[in-house]
Amino acid sequence: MNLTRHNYEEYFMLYVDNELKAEECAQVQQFIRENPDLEEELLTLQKALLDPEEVYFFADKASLYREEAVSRAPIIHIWRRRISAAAAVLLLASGALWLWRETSGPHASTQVNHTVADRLPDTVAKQPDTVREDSVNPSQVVNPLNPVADTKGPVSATPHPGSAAASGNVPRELPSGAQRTQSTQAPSVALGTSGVSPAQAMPSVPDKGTSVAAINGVNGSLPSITQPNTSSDMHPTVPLNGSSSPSTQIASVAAPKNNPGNVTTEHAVSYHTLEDADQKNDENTILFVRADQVMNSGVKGFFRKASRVIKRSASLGSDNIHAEPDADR
Amino acid sequence: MLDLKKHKIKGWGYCLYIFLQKQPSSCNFSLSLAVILPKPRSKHLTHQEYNQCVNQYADNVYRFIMKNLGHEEDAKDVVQSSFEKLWINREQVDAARCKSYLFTVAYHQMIDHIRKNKKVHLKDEFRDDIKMQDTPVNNAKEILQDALGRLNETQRSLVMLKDYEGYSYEEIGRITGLNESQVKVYLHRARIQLKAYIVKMENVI
Repeated sequence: MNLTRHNYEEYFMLYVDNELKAEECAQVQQFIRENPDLEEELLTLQKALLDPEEVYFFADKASLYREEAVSRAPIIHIWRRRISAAAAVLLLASGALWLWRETSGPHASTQVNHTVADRLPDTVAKQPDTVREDSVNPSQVVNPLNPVADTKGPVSATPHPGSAAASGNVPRELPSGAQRTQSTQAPSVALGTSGVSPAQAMPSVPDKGTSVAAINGVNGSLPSITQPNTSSDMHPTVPLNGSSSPSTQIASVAAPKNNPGNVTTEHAVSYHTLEDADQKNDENTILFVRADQVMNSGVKGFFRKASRVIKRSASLGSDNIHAEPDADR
Repeated sequence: MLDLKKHKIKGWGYCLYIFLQKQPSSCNFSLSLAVILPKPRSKHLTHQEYNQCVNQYADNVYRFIMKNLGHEEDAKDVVQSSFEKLWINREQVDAARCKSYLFTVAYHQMIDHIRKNKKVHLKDEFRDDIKMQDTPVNNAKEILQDALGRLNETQRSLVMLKDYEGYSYEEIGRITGLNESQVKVYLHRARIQLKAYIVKMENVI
């Protein structure tokens, strides 16, 4: 800093404005000591400074204060709102579908049950007491899996002299749930047993001349019920309610000779004719599967429908994919 | 080293940062991450800090405006609107810069107010001049205030910001929208006028 008598005013201004550094301030003070006639001018400049202690009070400070901020509502981003809305719509749709399945399910199952009931013969297990009471020579469905259950029944007390007594088997019931769903319209139940089989009783009550052979003859459309053992062993037919339904259907329990413990129930059911040709030995299983399908709940139906829709969409997508190369060709 | 709290690194960003720190060449990654990351937000004004600003600076702002306008109600209006604006924009104002923000807003609102009421203001100045000529001022403070009233609003504001608030040329320039050289020149001219008036009045006395 070159402080002279020609430029001192600027430095005096900077000095009173406190814009100089410490050493520059010292130079100014030194300059004043060296030039005392200019000290009066510096004092006049300092007199022109405003007093910072001068105070003005703002009376309405209370109007300027702000209270504590009220808690804001949580900010939800728009994408979160969209996702939640989509989830809600999805939930509603699935719930509605569920309800629809629930409401329409019983009707469907009832209808199916009716159709099955119309077609399937009711076994003795469905109404064992009725059968035992109505039938003079009560027929029985033999269930080798539960040999103790039938010991209480009247049939077991009076076994059929033709087969059951001869074979020495104890007649048994079929506790199968699938057979319990069968209707009582189909009157005859043919029980095919082998003479060797120890686990079967064959009470036989012919109903209006219907036998297995006759039934097979009449009901030609039905799949043939082939008793692997013998046709003569299939004598026992059980009239359940004495109805002479033209579509007489047969549920037979056959026990092969070689496998006396394995009893298969064969049902000549009209609605699974396709399977019967190939799966004669598994008809019992098929019947169970059908019964399960009849008793489907809404959940399975929902998943089945969903998988169907997915398959359909996938097939459509694949068609679209393959359509373009074909079109190009 | 990044300040995680400062940059508000959370979740996956934190995991990425830790992963990069464990890598041998993590320094470059960290630096690049620091470049990518947004700048940390300055601390915005809470309502307690705002009320503290009212306590600390309401009188100063009122003095600054009142001395410029010379009208109490107008000065109050300007002060209230300045603090209102501070409250509205508290998210963008740091507590440390609260005072300069207040004076900036108050200065510009005062200028707007003066421009709106220019005719009335000129009439008031004329009356003051008459009053000054009629009644000689004996007190040095009153002479100085009278001299201050004779300055234009820019010079007066610069002098008050410098003497009352102690702002530097740079800060005054930021508040008033002038550059540092302009502030220096205007302020020196104002000082010379004040000095001349004081000398003149002393000579008269």
